[in-house]
Amino acid sequence: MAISLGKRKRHTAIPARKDLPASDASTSDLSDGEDVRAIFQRAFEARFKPLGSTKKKTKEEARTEVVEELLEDADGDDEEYSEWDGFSSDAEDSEVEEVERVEVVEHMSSSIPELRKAELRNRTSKAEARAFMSSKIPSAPKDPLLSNSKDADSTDDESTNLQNDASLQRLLRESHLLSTTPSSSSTFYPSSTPSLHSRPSNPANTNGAGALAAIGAARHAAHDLHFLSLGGKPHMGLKHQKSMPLAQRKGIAKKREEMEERRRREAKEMGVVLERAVGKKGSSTGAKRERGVGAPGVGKFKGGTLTLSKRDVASIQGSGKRRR
Amino acid sequence: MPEPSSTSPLRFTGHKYLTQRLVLSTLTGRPIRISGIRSSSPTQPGLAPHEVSFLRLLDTITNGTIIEFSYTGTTVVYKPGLITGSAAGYGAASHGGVLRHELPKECNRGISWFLIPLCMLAPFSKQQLNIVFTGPGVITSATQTGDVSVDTVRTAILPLYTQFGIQNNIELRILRRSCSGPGGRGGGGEVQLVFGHQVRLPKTLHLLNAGRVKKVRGVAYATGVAASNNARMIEAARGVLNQFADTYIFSDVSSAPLLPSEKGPPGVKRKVGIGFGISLVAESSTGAVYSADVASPPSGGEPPEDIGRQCAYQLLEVISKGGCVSSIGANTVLTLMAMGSEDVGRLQLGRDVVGSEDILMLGRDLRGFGASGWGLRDADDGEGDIVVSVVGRGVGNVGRKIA
Repeated sequence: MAISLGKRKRHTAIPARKDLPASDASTSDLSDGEDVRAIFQRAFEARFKPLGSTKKKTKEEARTEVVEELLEDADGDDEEYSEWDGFSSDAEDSEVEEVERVEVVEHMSSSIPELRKAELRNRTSKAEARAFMSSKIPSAPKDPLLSNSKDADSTDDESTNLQNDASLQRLLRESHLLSTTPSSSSTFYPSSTPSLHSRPSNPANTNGAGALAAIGAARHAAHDLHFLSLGGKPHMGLKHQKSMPLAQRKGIAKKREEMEERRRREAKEMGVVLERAVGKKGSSTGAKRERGVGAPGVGKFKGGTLTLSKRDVASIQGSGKRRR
Repeated sequence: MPEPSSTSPLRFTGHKYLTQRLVLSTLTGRPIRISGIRSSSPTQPGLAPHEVSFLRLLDTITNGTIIEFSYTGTTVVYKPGLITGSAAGYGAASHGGVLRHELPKECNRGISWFLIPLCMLAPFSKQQLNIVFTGPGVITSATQTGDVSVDTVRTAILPLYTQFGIQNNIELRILRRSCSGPGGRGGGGEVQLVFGHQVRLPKTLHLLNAGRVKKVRGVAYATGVAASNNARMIEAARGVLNQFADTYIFSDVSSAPLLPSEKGPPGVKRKVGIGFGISLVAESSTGAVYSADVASPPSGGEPPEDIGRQCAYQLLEVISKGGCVSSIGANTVLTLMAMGSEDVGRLQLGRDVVGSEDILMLGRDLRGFGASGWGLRDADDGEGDIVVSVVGRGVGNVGRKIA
């Protein structure tokens, strides 16, 4: 601030060169041309650094000028560079290397008023008191050299490691679902039967374990397992449901049979050898149902009456197709 | 000493470094047997009340720990269990997840004697550690027995954990302040420690640049005495330190804790733990902390100016020893480094810090527990510091091995 102000004054002083010799005639014996050059040199040196080839006197002058410019106030209007002799004794005694030393000037100490400094300090101390006297760890200073990007990277690493750990554990827990027969799990369905995917999305782009993410029925089973591990009740899933309407269960069985039959047929058409079909359990379709001892062989006995349904009557009469 | 099998306990003698050995035993899972505990003392042989209390504390925060005392208490066999922290079902559930630990009134060690080893165990616990120290034996101030104040633990010890990446949800609440009671025994303070950041392995540390001290902060505390004592301590300390660094010391005034008195009619309470003290912490540009702690003696008769000045000089002495960690924190840092991943960590310490008895014994004990030895070399900066290279053991947190 002080430098620019001082320089502005110099610039205004340069056009007023004409009356300089008149006023300076008594103090300065420099010729006009030299004077102009000295002014420019001073201006240059004030802006940049002292020119090496100049003689000692001009250096001294330059230094005193620099000091003057840095130290004078904004309203120091009557100061003329030629009249300056404030540090002369000091400057004349000093040696060349002392002249070339960089001047360090504190601006903050003079520019900020004491009151504002006190206020600033008060505010920071209040915030600091809150940080320091709280029960938390007083905030440690961030090291600019150890950049926080590196820190963030390592924490990211840690979190991704944890995530990978968790997904690996989950995969291990659910791995038995992947090895079940493809009919019950659509996870590893061949691509020739895309219609059987319960979810059209590609397993590779599902999140989590990527290609190993369970889809379809396996996904439901995995969910059930997850619920179980979180403390859910075992009959929450469809698979574990105990009681179900007969029609629904029949429908499921029928659908499963249908799917299996279609899979085998299509595999046969493609020439793919499949595992041997598990023979149907000896179902009681052919055998007659065991009825209670003393119960009638036909119909329903209730409240002292034997009730025969239409089907029973038909079976007795032998007309139509036989059911049992 | 022949290498004992992993099942036979490691043998130690004497009551010194008891907490350090118990902590190392718990972290590594090796059982230890400590014999000859004050066996030559005719009046008070065996474990002191605060040592028994620390063993009970370990029993509280672990699961499956077996502690056996001899009849005289001069021999202890300690078989460590898993560090569970304030897990539900182990006594914490009844108080809302907070463990309570009561210290007996004969306790003459500051609470930092319990807190510093406990903080070393807490990062390796299965769950977060939330514990309240209460009872007639809790002294939060610095003590004549050489323990630092609880402020120093919070402002100078806990920041060391951030260097290991352990920084979240850690709190040390001073619920009630207390200086040491009459005869240096008992206090009646109350302190809560919440250590909620558990890790698998602490990060490998490379601290080689101590930096330059940029600010000094501190707490002056007065319990049950006039607040002007604080002002006098602060003024004396600032008189010494102001010319060196930006100094600011906070003041904390509280009334004396009331405890029911044993003598006299029931229901009458007495004030204990009256006094004042000051804790100073200097922080460097790279985050190294140096601390000093002085409190008024329980017998009194020491003007606050002396306490303040003494503390300032003590701080300057600690800073002059140099290194990235002062001798108070060096135990913590070296132990955590030894428990870190199997990698070489480096720590620059002052020559006097490394040469102190505490650090040498820590090195020997770590060797005994199967850690590899330290590598020592002179630091490059020519200030006489020593760089300690520590290879981690990769033990880490057994409770968190399964994510």
